[in-house]
Amino acid sequence: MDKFQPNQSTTQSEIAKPMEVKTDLVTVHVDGKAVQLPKGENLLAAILSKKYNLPYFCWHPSMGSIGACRQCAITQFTDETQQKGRTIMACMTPVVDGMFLGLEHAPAAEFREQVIAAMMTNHPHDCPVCGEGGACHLQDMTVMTGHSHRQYQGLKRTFTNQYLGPLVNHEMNRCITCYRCERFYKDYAGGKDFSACGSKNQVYFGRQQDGVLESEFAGNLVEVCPTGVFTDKPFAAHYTRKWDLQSAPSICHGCAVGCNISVGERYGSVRRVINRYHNDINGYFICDKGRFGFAYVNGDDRINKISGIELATAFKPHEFSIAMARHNAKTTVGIGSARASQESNAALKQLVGRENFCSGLTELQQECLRSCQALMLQNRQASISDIEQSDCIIVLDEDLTQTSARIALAVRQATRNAAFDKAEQMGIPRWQDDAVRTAAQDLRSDLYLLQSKSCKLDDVAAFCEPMLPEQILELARDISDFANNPHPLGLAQTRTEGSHSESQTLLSRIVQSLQHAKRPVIIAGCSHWHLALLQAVEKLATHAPKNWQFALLPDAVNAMGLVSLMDEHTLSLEQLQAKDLSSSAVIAMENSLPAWSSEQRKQLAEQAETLVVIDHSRHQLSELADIVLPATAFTESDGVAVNYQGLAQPFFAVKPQVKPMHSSWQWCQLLDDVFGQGTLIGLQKLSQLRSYLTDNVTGYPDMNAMFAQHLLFKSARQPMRYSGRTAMIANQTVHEPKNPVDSDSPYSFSMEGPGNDDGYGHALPRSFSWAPGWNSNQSISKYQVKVGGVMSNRADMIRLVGQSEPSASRAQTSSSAKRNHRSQRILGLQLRQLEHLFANDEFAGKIAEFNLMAPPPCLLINTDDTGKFNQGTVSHVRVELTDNSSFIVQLIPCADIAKGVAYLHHPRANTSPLLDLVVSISTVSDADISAHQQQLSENLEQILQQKNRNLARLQQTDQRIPIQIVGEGS
Amino acid sequence: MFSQFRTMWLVLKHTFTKADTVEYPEQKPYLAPRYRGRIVLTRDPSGEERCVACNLCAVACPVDCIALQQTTDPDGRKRAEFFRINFSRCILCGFCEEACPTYAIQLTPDVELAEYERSNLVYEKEHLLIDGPGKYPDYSFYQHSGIAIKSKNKGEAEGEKPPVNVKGLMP
Amino acid sequence: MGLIEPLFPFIEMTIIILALILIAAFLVWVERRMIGIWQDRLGPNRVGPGGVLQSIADLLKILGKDEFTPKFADRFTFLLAPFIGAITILMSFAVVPFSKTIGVSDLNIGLLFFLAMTSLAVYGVVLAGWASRNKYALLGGMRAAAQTISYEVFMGLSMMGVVLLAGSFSLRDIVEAQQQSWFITSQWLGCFVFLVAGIAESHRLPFDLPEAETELTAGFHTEYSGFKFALFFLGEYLGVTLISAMTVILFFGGYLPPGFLADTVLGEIPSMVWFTIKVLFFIMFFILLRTSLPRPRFDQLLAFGWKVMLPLSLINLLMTAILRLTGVLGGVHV
Repeated sequence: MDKFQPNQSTTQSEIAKPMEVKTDLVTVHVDGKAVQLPKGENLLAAILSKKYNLPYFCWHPSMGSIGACRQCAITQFTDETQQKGRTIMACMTPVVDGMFLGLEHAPAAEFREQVIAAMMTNHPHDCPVCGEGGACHLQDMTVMTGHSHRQYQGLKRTFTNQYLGPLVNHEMNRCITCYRCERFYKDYAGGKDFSACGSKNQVYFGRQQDGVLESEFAGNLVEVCPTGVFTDKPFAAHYTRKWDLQSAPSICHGCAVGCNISVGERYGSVRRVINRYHNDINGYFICDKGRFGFAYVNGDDRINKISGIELATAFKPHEFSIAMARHNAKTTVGIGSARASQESNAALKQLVGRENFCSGLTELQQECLRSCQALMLQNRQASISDIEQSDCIIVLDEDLTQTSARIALAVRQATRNAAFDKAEQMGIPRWQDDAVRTAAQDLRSDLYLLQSKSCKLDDVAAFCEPMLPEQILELARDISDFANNPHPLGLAQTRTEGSHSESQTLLSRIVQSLQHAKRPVIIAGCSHWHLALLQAVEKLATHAPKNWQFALLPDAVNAMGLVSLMDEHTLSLEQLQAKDLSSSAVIAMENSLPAWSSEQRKQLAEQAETLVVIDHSRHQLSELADIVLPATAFTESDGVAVNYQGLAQPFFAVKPQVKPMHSSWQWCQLLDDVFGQGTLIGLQKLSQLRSYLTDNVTGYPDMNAMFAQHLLFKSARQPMRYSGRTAMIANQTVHEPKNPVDSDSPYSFSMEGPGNDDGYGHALPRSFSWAPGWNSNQSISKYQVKVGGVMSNRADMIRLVGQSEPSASRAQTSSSAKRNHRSQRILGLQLRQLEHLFANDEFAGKIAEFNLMAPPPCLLINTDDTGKFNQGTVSHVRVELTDNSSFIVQLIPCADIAKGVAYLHHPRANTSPLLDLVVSISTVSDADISAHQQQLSENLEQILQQKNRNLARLQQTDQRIPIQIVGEGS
Repeated sequence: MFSQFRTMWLVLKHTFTKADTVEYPEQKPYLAPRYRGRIVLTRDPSGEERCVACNLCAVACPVDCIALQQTTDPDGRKRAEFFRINFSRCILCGFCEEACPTYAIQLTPDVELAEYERSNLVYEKEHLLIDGPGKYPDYSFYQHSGIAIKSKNKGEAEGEKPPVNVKGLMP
Repeated sequence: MGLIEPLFPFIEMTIIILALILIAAFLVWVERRMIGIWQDRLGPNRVGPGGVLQSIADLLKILGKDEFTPKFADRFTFLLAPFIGAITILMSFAVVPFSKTIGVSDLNIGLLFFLAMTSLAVYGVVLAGWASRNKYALLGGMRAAAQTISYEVFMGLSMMGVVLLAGSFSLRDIVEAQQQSWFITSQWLGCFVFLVAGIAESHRLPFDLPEAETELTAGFHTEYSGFKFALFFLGEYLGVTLISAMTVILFFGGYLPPGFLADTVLGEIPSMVWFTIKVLFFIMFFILLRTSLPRPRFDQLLAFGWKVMLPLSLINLLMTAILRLTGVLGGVHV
């Protein structure tokens, strides 16, 4: 199966093609000019698609129209003389053949100006201190309508603000009551704790009382809000204007979905991440982990110098080679990583050779990922837009909101498809948001959540009763059987034991839904490494009808890339442990081996003759290592990540490397003449390395065509009004160095090159979104073929598809993997890890905001299971581990957890597998509890201190920008 | 040909006119208070820094010689963590002053900016900040802005109603 | 004593050369001050009393500059050109009678020697333009060549009237021939043509097209700096002095005091002083020209030369010859 052909490259537009609905084009006259618009589309979207400027606030391409803001007024003339007409709201009017419209018609233009004037009566004089300034849709629209003078002389109404948590800031005075926030938060993302209240001039958008916004998509309010009511709080703490951000297109490294993001940098530190539109993946929204989870790249824990070898301060490759040569060993074993780029993994594999390449995964993990890969290779993995269009979704044992949040948002949208169908029958256009919702009431497409614990999608699910993991597995197998023999009656006959009558009815419900569904999607994931379940899904896929789609979600950003590099020689962690490493150098690349306990890591460090760790942040393994080489994080390096679907997407550095930091692939290349076969020597440029890897490493996708196209362009990372160039390093030197040259990517570290305008229509993703008159992210519509459609400059990516061949190696290892997979039971409870978006990730623990939002150490159990703990009177329990350590967790009984399952959460799980180590759970004394609570509040204090320290450090570095960031050489 | 001779004659007559030259530095020319010279940062009437680090001066600067970083004080005021003007690049065009929404940055009639070391022309905030309000003695930005600071709560700025009671029942 | 005596001419020459160079340097300051005065400014007045040492300061600065030779230049010619420019002009002064007694050489073909040297001087400019391998420099050089060749013709012709009257090519003879009346009285047309041609020969404004900075950066000396540039600079101001001196010698009685003053007390003033005063007057005239007149177009310059000045100088020569032969104009009979 490793011999798949990755060469079948497709561009995004080709992928998107089958989804595009053919609509009739009709002729509409806009300001006397005939244009072709799709019939029945809402006029605002159609006009914006033709790149006209028309102001709007409440309409959103993903959320439809409600006609609340009255901003998109235009004139509809009665006839072609264009003399008489009436003012209409473009967003509420469908396109009809032969319309005569006046965008510039004076009464309509004046109307729009007056609407802005009315909004401005209460808008505070805040722009200089507002985080939205310079990227504000309200500013843009005000300028667009020509409103320049405030005539209202009365007093402004004011509001008090709410504390909405560490991520989003609230400033209600600025509100223009467009209702977008509520429509996104409640209607689109399913949040429960945020709403509009009050009436007329006193409408207030907020929570019932101060508190952290519960939704995992709350960060999108920052982008959804047309003005500065909701702003990015961590960004505000270390703020810079949009025009000052050096930006680069990137891929979110939070999970395997591969959402497109744009990263912004200023004065050498990464400031913020915003959504970068991609019609097939993230659309207009990303989750909060993607938006705020980058902060570790600015963290205290970054490794920024070489340790373990003596080098002069200025990094020189030959000196490095000489120093490393002393550590040469007979053999070299390389440990790859699912969070490293495809280039780095492939270069490491080439460096150490295929026999010595370790995936850094346990056998169980490898097998789980191979199941995901099997579906990927069959091209059965559904994209997010596929999921959004599905009319029946079954989620198997995966808390999507906490693991792959963007998928959960898509699943939520999919449940509306029944409503859209009904509205279509009633003749209501899809974009008439309010009408569709009124018509639909509670009508939803089928969503079956087969899970052991309630999740945030429960409110839209047709079924969400918690059940045991074994039951889920059984159901999955039953569905698989059904797919093999699609006759509901036959199925009922085969399983008539009766004892499972409840699950029988559920099964028949699911089966019926699946039979009636046009585009069903079955989703499972790797969060619990439930191999049997994944294999059941894989089997199901082999004989499921072609219209069934799947989404098997791996855990890490490039897991699919890593698994495509694995072959029959690739070592698992178990094989690595069994190997004699006494005369070996071990290179662990961007892998802290979170699948291992700290004992196992220590053992590795002792066994290996030399342990070389290449990573960007400190962890236990880097502390144990003989030599630590500082790697760049994804914000400073170029590479490719393969998402769950098999889309290989490039990401680009937002700032230059500061030596001695190098990308992991560069370290592999530098280490090659000492540890490797010397094949990588001379491949200093990424383009050289890529073409070499394409030719020589199986599993490295052929992306030459894409990257060759990139080389034709040099696009700007800095906006045209990037400021302070001659002052930002003037305190260090008044000599202005030449901008750093980026020979690896099609972007320049300057404001030179196309990218600010659409004149080229080239094949590059946009580093930032801006169009004349459109400073906010709403400018994206200028770069879409049609609003909400594909980008006019196709952001290229390569899809890894091919034919899977069942390989012998897989059959062999799967048995040992099964042996490995045991469910840990304590007190008759099956222990599972509690998934949480802001926890359970080695980097989440390094982000202060996430630590504040992570749940406290806890053990979730069913209310009926409390009896197992001292007659249900205890509030805390002590969890003891095999290594004789122990910790206290809060015991939280819940009704909606399957009986016999317990969910454990503790920060230690961020870096080590906790469940395998648990020996016993015992009660604790009151003194211990108060000590524990004391500890928790101390931790909280420490987190806040750490946050302030980090900010202070960043402010220090703002004034000592490494010259390499702004200038070449030195 | 005649015009050439006439020109020469007219020029020659200037032998007896007085030179317009002002012999600076012995003779100081009069520079009006709004003359565009050295840039300063002013304080509001309460003695606090006026600059809210909004970056508008930096973006208006045609030679990009202003760099700054915003920070928020515990009392809610925005402030420049650092504010640097590279006067060796500055062309004293005054765009920064025009762009400034808080009257913080002002140009003064001091034009004597000469140094032997270019690095001495890099002014940090402590060099730029003066003690007074400069040209607009009464203006205080936070009295017009909607955001709350320690000494001014919501609804207490000029031209503001008291905050709406969101939980009130009145329409 | 007998050993030193043969050295006297050399000492005289050295003094003259040094004096000329000093005058040229001094002229730079004079010019800047005068232009300043005429433009209602002060001009350089900081270095030394009234700014007289400005040229010294400028000289020190210019000598302190990097002796830069572009990589693409023809090195030898590039180095040679400024020396040709300066030396030929200096050589011309060999035949100039500064006073009754002072003068390096009294060649009987002095005037021809002067013409020969000024024609050679253009090589400095042309070679500089060519050797720089720079389009501006080359254009400047070409302009200089065309300009010099054109104006050389009637410069020579304009002087022939004087030669006819004086009956000699020796400059001292020409001066002595003006004891009765200066040649300007009869040769005013020749004087005008000579002055115009002289300005063109020395590339002074308004005829400095070879170095017209608005079009050609700095023309033929675009690539020059430091000492080599100083030589061109020296050449230019020596040229101004030379043309002024020649005008005085040919038309204004050289070192002779004006005829009506010859018998008064003023006639006792050393001839050297008269010469200096007269030369200074013309230098001032040159400066005034520079201050007041704009630069013509190059085609206008050549057209003016060939279509106006050449006929004028021919008419002047013809008339002088006719009048000389008919005896209306007196003169020294050979």
